[in-house]
Amino acid sequence: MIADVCLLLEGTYPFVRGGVSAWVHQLIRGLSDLRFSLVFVGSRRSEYGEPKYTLPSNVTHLETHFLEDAYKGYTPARVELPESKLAPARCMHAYFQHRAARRELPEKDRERLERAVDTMLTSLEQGDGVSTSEFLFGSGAWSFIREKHLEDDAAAPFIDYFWTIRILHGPIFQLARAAARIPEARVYHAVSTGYAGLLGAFLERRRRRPFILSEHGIYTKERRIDLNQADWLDELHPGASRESDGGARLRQLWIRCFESFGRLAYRSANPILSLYAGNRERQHQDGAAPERTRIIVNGIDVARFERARGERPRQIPRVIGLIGRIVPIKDVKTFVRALALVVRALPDVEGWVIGGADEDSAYDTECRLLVDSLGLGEQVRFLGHRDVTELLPRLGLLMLTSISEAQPLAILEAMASGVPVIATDVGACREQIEGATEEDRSLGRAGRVVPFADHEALSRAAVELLMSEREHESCQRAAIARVERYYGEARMLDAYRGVYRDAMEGQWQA
Amino acid sequence: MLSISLSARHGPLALEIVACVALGCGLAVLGAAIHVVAAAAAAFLSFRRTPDAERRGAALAAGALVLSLPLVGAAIVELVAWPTWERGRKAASGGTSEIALPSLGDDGDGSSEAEAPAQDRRPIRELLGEAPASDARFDMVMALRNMDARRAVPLLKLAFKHPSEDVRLLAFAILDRREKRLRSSVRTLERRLVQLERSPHHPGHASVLAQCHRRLAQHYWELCYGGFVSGDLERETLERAARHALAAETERSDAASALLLARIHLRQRRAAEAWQYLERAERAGAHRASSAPLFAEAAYALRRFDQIPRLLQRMQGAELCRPDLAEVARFWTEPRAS
Repeated sequence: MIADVCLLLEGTYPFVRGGVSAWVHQLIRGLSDLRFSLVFVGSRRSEYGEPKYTLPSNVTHLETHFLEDAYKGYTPARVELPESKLAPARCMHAYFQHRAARRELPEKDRERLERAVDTMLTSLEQGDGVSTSEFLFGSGAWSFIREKHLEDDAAAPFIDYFWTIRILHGPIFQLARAAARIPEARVYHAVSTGYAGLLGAFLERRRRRPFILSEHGIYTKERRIDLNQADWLDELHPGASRESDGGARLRQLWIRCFESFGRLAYRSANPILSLYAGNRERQHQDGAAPERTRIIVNGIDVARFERARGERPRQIPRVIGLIGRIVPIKDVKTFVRALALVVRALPDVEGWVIGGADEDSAYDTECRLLVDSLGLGEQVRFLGHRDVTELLPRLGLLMLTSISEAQPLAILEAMASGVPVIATDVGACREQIEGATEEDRSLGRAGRVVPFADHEALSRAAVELLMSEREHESCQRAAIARVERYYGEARMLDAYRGVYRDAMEGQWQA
Repeated sequence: MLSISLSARHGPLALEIVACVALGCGLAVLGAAIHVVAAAAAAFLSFRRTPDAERRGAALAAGALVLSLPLVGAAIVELVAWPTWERGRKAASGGTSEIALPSLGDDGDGSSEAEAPAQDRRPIRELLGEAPASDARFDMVMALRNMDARRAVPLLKLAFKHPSEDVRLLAFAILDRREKRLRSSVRTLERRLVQLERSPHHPGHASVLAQCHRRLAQHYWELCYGGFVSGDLERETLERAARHALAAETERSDAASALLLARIHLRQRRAAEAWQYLERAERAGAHRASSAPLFAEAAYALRRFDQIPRLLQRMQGAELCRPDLAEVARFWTEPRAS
């Protein structure tokens, strides 16, 4: 029996803990009347251990694909790659170059290039399309790469360019092969663009099945930041310090590649879902058709946190918690710095960092060193991954110092537990804390929103809320009212049930 | 506003004369109206001419005088009150005059040298402040990756306030990477130091130990100088830098460590100690061009203003080519019109 929904997951559920994983788990459990299959795409096998979640009983299938295997088992052999097979690849490159330059194509050219893109998606690794062996060893592929290198007026050294092209294309071929074998499902649903989105695009074209795309963060944006910071790209070409040189061109190649994957996913998916207006706008900028985009906000099981409300002590607990993985994007160091200032005003305050540290142990070490160097060894505790329903009643405040977020579940969970929140002004945090609409805002503020990386503003807000029982209570009331009215799990599950039903019943159009 | 134009200065008196003429012509209402305007003008001009603390009283007094003593009041205000107030103010200011400070473009704000990489040649600080999200802004922040920390860090922190999340994220990532590299080096060197201290009989031990201390001092200093630490943490980091620099200097007297100690002490506002280390650095062979600006800074902190021109004149060639230093040197050494 085929699955109703095949979830395409990159670097997340069920092998990694975090907001997206928790959301996927919640979705599967909440829609227990649907059968789910899972396709996990990861980088290296060694980076993922055992699944971190017990799969719900409605998960019928799990398969993994690791990109390090892209060229595994291919040995050099003399292969010819005829020009007829290369022609669609040329068109596809031209298509993406035009899109990258944000140039409008004439209607006739656009149709021709769009057809070529479809041909590539359906034929890659099939009989009439380019195969991995032809790409790796075909003389035509070699000539094509040389030709593209010469077209680049500020190219990197050919050897760097050649290997970059090889590395970039490996996953494309691998996912094309995977798309041929993945079990049938009535709907394919990717939880990001990137490789998962590309796989969705392959499946949509080949199986002619609905493809749904949900984005929590914006994958392309995050990749762009990662790539701009990638030390290994500098090491690959040591002169990569100036933007005009070859190293920077290689960086651009990588960025363009992920932008192209994103466009392919946006082109194939319908609907394209996001968590809040800011990200939806970003999807439009990146090429998603506005008529396909929709917002479905996160939701939580509020009842699960009602007990936490009952367990709260009468006095404001002198504990500020940060719930999140210990990774740079959560900016735990700013939390520590803010706590140092809070402790100066209120010496009995403690800071609890609640979240796993296994993802970036170097960063975890840095945070602990900072705690020591600030003399906060007694006040800051690193608790690791814990059940938040047990800890939330003991928090006076939740502090989220992230430099990037979408719509954090941690905020909703704290609000449902009656814990006021201080968060940085990123993603949908302001909407969550202050309200998204006029009616929502009339409920009051559930805490404070401050600029990011501003430990002084964070500490001021924390001291204010810890010192003022009246203000603290007012935030609690607003938090509970808002989360109950707008962020219930049932709303989110109903919305997704509707999306799946429309797709399965044929009200879907790519 | 030290000066008021001649016409404005004599406005109230002139208005009073006009009011008298109007009254003489039988235009009582017009004359009265002009008289009131003259009183208001006297009050307004008095308000503008006097220091903040005395403004309201002076304005009220002048206005009341002109209003209650037609013509005579205005004459008293213009000929007696204003000149008296003017003399009082000059005396209070000690005869000083305001001279614009040189524009220190290098003061970490990137306003003079840190220019945008694109065609727009305005400073990054200005462009970042006004820019909406766009690839150009992103590239601008990318350009800061390779700029020296002292200039880049304030600009990167400015980019945190940019409306585009991409720009904010990139700025944060660059800053984090810089700090991470520094702290990673510090950790490695601290471990090395522990190893060295456990094996004091190795050949060349003293020299290697001194080198390790010197590099640690340099890294801790960079954490402060680059703006990666602030407040209490900066104080503590400076102390660590000083401890290691002192250890390096004690182990083997060298100009670089003494200069670093001088810079640390200047940042700690301990100019007298900084001065001593600068003298020690010169004795150990530090080039005058390196020590001269620091000497000048110490002299300024010690209020030895008369020494500053002589100290800055010791800078030569390359040092004077740095626009920031050249402007400071010009400010202190060129004769100014009095």
